[in-house]
Amino acid sequence: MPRQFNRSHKLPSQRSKPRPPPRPPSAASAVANGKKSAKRRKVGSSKSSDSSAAAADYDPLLKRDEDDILYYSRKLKAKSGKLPRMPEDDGLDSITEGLDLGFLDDMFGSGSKKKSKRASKRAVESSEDEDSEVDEEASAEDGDSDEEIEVDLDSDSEEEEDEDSNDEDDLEEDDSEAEADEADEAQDSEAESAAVQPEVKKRENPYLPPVAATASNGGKYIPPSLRKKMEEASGQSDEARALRRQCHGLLNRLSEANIASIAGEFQQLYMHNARQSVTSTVTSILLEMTAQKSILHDNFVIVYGALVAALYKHVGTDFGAYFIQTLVETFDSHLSDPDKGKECSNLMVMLSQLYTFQVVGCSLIYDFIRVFLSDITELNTELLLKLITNAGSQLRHDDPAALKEIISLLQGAVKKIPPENLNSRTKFLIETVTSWKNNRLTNTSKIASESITRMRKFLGNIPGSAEALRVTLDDIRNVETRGKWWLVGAAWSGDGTAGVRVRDVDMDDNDVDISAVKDILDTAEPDWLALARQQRMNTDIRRAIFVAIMGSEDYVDANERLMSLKLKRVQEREIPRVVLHCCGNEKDFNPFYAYVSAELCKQHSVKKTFQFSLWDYFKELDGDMDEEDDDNDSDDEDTDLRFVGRGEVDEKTRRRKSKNFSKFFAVLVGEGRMGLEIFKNVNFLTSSDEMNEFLQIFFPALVSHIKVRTARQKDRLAGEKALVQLVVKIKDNTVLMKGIEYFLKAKIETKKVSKKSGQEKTDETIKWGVGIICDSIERLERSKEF
Amino acid sequence: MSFDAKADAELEFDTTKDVEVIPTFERMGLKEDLLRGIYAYGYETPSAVQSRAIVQILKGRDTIAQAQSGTGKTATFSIAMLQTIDTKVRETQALILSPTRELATQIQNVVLALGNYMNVQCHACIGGKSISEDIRKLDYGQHAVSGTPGRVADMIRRRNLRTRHIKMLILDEADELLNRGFKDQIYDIYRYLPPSTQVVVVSATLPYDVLEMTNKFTSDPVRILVKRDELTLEGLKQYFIAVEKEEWKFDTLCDLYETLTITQAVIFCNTRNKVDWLADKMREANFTVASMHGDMPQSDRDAVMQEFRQGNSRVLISTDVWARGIDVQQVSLVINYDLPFNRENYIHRIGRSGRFGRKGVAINFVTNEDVTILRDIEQYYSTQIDEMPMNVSEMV
Repeated sequence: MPRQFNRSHKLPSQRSKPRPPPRPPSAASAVANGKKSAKRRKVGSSKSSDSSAAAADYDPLLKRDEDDILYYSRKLKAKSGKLPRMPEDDGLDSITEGLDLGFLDDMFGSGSKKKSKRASKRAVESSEDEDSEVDEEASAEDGDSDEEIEVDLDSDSEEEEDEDSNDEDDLEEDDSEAEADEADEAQDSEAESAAVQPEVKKRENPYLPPVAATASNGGKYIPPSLRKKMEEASGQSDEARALRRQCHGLLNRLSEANIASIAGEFQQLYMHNARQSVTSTVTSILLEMTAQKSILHDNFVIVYGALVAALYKHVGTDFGAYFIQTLVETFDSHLSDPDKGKECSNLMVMLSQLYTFQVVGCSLIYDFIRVFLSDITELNTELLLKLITNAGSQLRHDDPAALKEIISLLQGAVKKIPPENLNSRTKFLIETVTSWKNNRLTNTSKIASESITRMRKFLGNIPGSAEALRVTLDDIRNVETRGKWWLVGAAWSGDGTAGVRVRDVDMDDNDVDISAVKDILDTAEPDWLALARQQRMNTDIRRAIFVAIMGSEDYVDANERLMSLKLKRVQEREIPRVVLHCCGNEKDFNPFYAYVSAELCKQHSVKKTFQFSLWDYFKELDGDMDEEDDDNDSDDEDTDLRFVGRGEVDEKTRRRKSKNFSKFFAVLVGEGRMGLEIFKNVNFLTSSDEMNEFLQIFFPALVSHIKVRTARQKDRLAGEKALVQLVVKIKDNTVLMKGIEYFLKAKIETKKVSKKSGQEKTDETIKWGVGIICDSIERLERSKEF
Repeated sequence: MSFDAKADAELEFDTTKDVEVIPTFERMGLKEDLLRGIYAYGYETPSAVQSRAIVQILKGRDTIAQAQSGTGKTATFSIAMLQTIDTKVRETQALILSPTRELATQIQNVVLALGNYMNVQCHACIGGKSISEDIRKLDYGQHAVSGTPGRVADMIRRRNLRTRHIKMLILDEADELLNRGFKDQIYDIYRYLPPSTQVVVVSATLPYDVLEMTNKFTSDPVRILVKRDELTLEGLKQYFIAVEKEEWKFDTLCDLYETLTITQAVIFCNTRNKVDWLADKMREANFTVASMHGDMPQSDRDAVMQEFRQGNSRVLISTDVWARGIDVQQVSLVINYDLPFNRENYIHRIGRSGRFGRKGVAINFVTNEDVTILRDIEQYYSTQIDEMPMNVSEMV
């Protein structure tokens, strides 16, 4: 029996384990009896199909006696048949060499002790030589049970056939038992033949519909790499075993609450042990914990991932690289096995968490996405879904276009497949992936994202910096030929990229698209931050806002991104500053900023900040920046305002900025987000040249914006109405009205003449607008006089 | 209760003949919205009990369904119930009773999750929660109510839970419901239901006397039963460790944590005091532990469940209040720190691991005095509980 074999070959470790001393015989025998009688019943039930004897009516004493005989005879044979044979068979004698095997008694409780006692007693009875071949002896004693045991011993297949013929109508399989057996079989197929197979009654597998059960009966296969590790783990020196135990204990305890202390303990372990051995032990245990047969709760994987990230920060590239390398290797080995879907899926979640915690860069993620997209199967769709749900927010954060691209590619790929090849679960999975585009988060991912935030915070507190590993799937898979990719100097870089290129060309256009997107992302991602720094975005919030705005697709997207930053009230005021800064530094005016701001101006505080910034700018234009009269602004604003308008010395820059700003505010006013009262502290009569320049651009821009905006509306007078409304809003401020009227008449209309006559239409528009404004101002004044 | 072989042989509580097996959810003729919910919940193919029982319940016959722990019984009656409910009628149409509050809440969640796409209202009517909230919810109208007998009976008596439209009564963990002090309350509730109510009786363990009792309130039921010796799951390995003395149990526990890979574990003790004691002791050893028993206020119990379900704590120490029905999929290990007093609860306890086809391990700590209890359990379920081998970590 394979389990027994395992037990015996792991005996040394058993011994070292601090266990309670062996049980007193009374307890042991009682338990052994229980075990035995249970077995007996099983025998009975499996046989019952042919004999169908009512086993329940036995005299209990008689029955127990029979049980005893059967049980011990079987046990004996198993032992005597196997023990001497085993070592030569599998070459494991080195393990048991030089060990006294007396601990067998400890191991099997006093069951084996009793057994040998009994055996010797029996040997006396039958006056036979108690040797390794006890079978005959047993058969002489107990003719009834003997046949079956003989069969057991001789060959498993025979026994199974026997059973099959008995329960032929019973299609269901005993799944797990068979699995365990086969797993062991893989390890020691030779020893197997000698072992006694327990009578396994065929049973229905309750997890599968009984009909389909015949199809799936894959034994558990342990990939060689894992097996090697397992053997290492079990057959290693005391030190290694102690290390493994410590790691096991720590990892089993690991949870969100105590991750900090446990990470600390691992650091201790690294100090007291060989680094590589800790690394490999942790890796193997963690992967074992991750690659389970059932879907792991996201929270666990998040915590595991966070621990890996923490250790990566502490230990360095070696650990991270080794972990990822092993992770992908394990994944690959599982992927080839159709029964290992859930393991794969768990490992994918792990990988995406590592991406979330920036242990690994996005290129590896994209590589996997590409692999999954190249062949739409149920499993691949599931893995894709896992990857996107877990790494999606990060991917979206990095580049929303990429995610959309992926989904459209997926839909494209799905279309190519005839619908009859898709089962409804795949369809469902695809739908879920698609719904991701629409930013629908489920509850679970909300919990997960909270947990991720906490873990990020924890990781942020760890000193030291570690950049995400930029590795591709190709590098990992070709580690044998190209060398370890994480080591500097390993000849890899040139070949690697070339190889990727070639493969891309070979694949169909879908894949090329993705790689293009990937390239954009790769190049774009770091640039934003660098750019942000270049633009003197000196705080995290400013940088975040900057990246959110600059990295967005359009103004809607930008607003969404800004919303998702979840800034506090005070922090929100940073947005206008950043926007104005960017806007001012553009070579030409970009209405994008204005539209972003128009949305933002729905919030009062933001609107006010824009206004203050503008006034500040006016002061600068009027040349009294350093006067003390800006004291109505609070202190922090004061310093921040300078952030916008600081250091513009060069005349060209100044002009450019002035132009951009005026057009910017023109759009804001034109969109109705702000009123003309923004000019209330401008003295139109004594304004400086710079101020005049600003206004001269502002008003035409305002008029033409309104014209354009209202052109599409049905109401022909919409433009006029909009202009009049602007004026009406400031009707209480007579000074301002008069000022504007003066300015429009004096500066704009005269200026117009001097302009080149190339843009007749624009001029007309301006004339039209200015006319309306002046008219309405006059009319309002007149109505006031009365 | 001694095992009466003769009575057992005479009694033909066998699975009804000709129960057809429907191998996929699609072929059960379920509503599209429900089907979506099922897939979204993560089911791919129906389990044995699901493939048999759902259709039988849908036929409207009284059904007694037994299946091994963790093989999807809750989903079985939930799916059948959701299929039967008419969401357009905002009245209570199905009533589910279960012995513990946590279980009732869990059932409510399953029903809501499966009915995610079909606008179904399901309320958990349990003790320890605000009565006014219950009244408000029930007055609003709930298609299904999952509750514990006491509160449900109360709500019916107050006429806040209107029974006129109830088509289906489901007794989850029926043996527990019909065994303990619940019996009278169940009878109370039953009296209020319309005579045509379909009764569904579900449990992993249905001892003879309970089956007999079901005759009183079911008519010509379809029986889907499991033989007692098939009740322990094959994927669920059971081991014992002879710790010999009570004092050595804790060291053994710590040692286990250094040898096995344990995602989440449930540790069962027999008394509430011991639960508290063990929880404190493990916290000292830097474990993140959650503990729960019936003495705690409901809000604490809820918090513990949430914490454990979300994986914030990896160890849960509890009494038999946690033994039945509760489904936390990550639990791969059940440790019986004390052996249970009753045989049924042994099956239920170890059934907390190895949920829905996953592998699970149950480890029993056996002192010298416990040996007979263990033997008794072994015998009763014709199962085999081996001494724990060293390489058990490969099996967890």
